[in-house]
Amino acid sequence: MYKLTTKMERRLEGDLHAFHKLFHENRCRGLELEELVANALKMDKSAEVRWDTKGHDKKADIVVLRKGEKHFIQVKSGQFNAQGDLVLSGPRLGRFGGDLVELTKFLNDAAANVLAIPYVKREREGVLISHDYRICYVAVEHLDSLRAKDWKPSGGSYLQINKHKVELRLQKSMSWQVWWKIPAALLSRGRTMSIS
Amino acid sequence: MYCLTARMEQNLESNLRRYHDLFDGGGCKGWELEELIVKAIQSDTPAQHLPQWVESGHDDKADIVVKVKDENHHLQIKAGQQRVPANRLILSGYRLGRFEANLDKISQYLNNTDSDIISVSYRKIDDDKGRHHIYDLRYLPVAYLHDIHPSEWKDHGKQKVQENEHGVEFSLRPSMSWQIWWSIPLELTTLGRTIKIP
Repeated sequence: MYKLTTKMERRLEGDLHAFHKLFHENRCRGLELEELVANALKMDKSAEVRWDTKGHDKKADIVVLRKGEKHFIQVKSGQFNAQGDLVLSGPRLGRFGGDLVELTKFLNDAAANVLAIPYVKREREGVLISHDYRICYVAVEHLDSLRAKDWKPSGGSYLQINKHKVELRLQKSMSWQVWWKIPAALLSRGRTMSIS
Repeated sequence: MYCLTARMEQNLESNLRRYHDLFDGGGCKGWELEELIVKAIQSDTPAQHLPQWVESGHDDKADIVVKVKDENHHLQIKAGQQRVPANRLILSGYRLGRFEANLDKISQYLNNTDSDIISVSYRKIDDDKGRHHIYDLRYLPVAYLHDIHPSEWKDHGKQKVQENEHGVEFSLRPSMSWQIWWSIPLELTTLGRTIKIP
């Protein structure tokens, strides 16, 4: 899996420091996080980093071409739940019109590994202590192995747990948005960045 | 209505420049603009305007309340899009699904809003000199967004639309939890600073 080097992680941390000099309350998220990760990846001059501001290439947020190899990366923010699982939201899949076969195929065909940077705002008695970001990697193969017939209705959602114990939820009321709950054991962890 | 002072606008410009030292892909987002505007108001110490803002508060009434002497000014901060050929400012507003499609209640609610609007619309221009980020600061008194009549909503595709006596076009979008969108003639707004980076 393509990972940030220590230098890249430091660059990202520096940029997040600069971000929080401007914004004390807001977190860095979405496209902004993608851009900072892309900028960090561009420190490797032997690689070509493709990041499109319009984003949302179907395969990846960022594509890195290095030594003839293509690396697909999805950047997510996400957060940890009380059990230490990483919870990530994914694309809205309403375009499949609720066809679970097509939707499952789409999810199984995903090619991009996930670089997640979950965030926690640490406060004590309403006073900000720090903005904490943690770099985590999830191999895409841990998110597939889904079977169309294994989706179980649950309230307004469909649920399935794959063989890696990743729980997927399709939220119908949110245009079939997919959510992943990923066990801590599947995460490969990078730098923790605490910005106070 | 409440307007930023020249010193506040200058502070906002400086912070947007800092923002674009980090980001070149797109504009500063609405929730970030709120924080930068609060900082801008605080930066003009001699003016002694006291802003109150709660991050992620999304109070329907105001994003920011500015106390000037004994008076409170309620402000909504919006990013918005400027449609240049049409000379209109497009803003999105509240989601009104809680009124369960009751057009009387929705109209009444919209007519009673009391927060003036500061819009910081953004556009990006790429030319042979590179990329330019342009923000237009505009002020809009909320009174221009009133005078809605419950009986005058017309079906237009999947939307319900009407236009008030000031030429503001309203569009309610049921598929987006009844979100309200405004299309506002630019002449109803007061243009503040235009910020061009670089």
